[in-house]
Amino acid sequence: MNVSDLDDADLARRLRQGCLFLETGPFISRIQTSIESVQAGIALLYAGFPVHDNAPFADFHVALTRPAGLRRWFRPQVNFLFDGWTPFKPLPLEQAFAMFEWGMNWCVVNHAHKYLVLHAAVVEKGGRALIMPAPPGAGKSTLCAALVASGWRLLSDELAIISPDSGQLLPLPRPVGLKNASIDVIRTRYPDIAIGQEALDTAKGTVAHMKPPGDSVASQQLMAMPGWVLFPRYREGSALALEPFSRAATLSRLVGNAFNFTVLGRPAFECLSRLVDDSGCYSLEYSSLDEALERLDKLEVSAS
Amino acid sequence: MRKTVWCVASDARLHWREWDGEVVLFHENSGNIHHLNLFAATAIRQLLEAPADSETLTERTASKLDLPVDDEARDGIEQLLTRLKTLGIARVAPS
Repeated sequence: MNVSDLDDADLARRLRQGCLFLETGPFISRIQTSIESVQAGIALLYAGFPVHDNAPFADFHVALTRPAGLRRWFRPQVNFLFDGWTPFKPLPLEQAFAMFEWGMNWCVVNHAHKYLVLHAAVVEKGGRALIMPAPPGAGKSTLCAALVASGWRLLSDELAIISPDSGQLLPLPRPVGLKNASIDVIRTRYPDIAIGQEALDTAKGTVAHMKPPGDSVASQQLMAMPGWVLFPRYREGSALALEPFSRAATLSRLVGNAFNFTVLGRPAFECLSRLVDDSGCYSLEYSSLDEALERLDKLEVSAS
Repeated sequence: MRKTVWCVASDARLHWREWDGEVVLFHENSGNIHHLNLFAATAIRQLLEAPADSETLTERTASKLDLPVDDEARDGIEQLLTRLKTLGIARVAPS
């Protein structure tokens, strides 16, 4: 049973009662909220994800609530709760769905130490994963959204989840976070793709989330072997430049983008070293999404 | 005056990966990695083989890489040893 199999009333009831067990990639989250914008966001953007009745175990128990008090009436806010406590300060109520997404990322980053977790977008074609670590503002999510809208499978726009034992990447194909100008870029290029409500004036500017493709969600248990590590950088007016990147520097950067490298220690070092061994390593500077997509498709053909 | 002899810290757990003359060193004790050029990596490997004072280490490293033993090499070794001491990877050998 998927989210889309629930009618609005049933979904709202489950969320209100805290009995929506949502399966995203390797994780099951128990979600509770009465906030309508979060309910609407889940209905739209998580439509294809499985839900479980009375799951015996949930990895994360999360809730989004409105703080009590006068503020509730003149400047409403939202709290994110994990196991009943609030790891963050409250945000304006209009940012509730964005807070849900950030909170879900936080859960994985801080608790999923069975896996090596990197800050990177991951897409897949032909069974090989393209891993794109990049700092904020580098155009990672925009490129990721365009790639999945062009036929690549989404594994994640934000978190590369790697099994330290097998070196394979686990999908976590949750909605793709878009910021500021990239929202209209993707909306204009791909008018058929659903994008959720915009949250204005967040710490990251205007934020909206793109619905992940159904195929990516349906194959969220299908892992991928590493194929390429790509460091993308959007620079307005620049010519397309795809250059080989030093493997040693690639390993250093991957470690720098790992959330739990020091938690896992040597297995993480060995895992990332193998990943670099098995991958083509590149930097990409681009200003035209069309050119970048075309070049990366050729990369896929020439490397396989 | 007796020269200072350096060695790799006996409890240092070091793991290496090398590609195209560049080395990534993982210092398991601290959890840190270090991206090294071939000169620094060779010097550390020489120090692992046997403790040495800085002049001897410069000579052994330069010889391994077929480089001249000059002021640039000496400065490089001095700076490397200071840095390795700070990182807990190398220390002064007990007399």
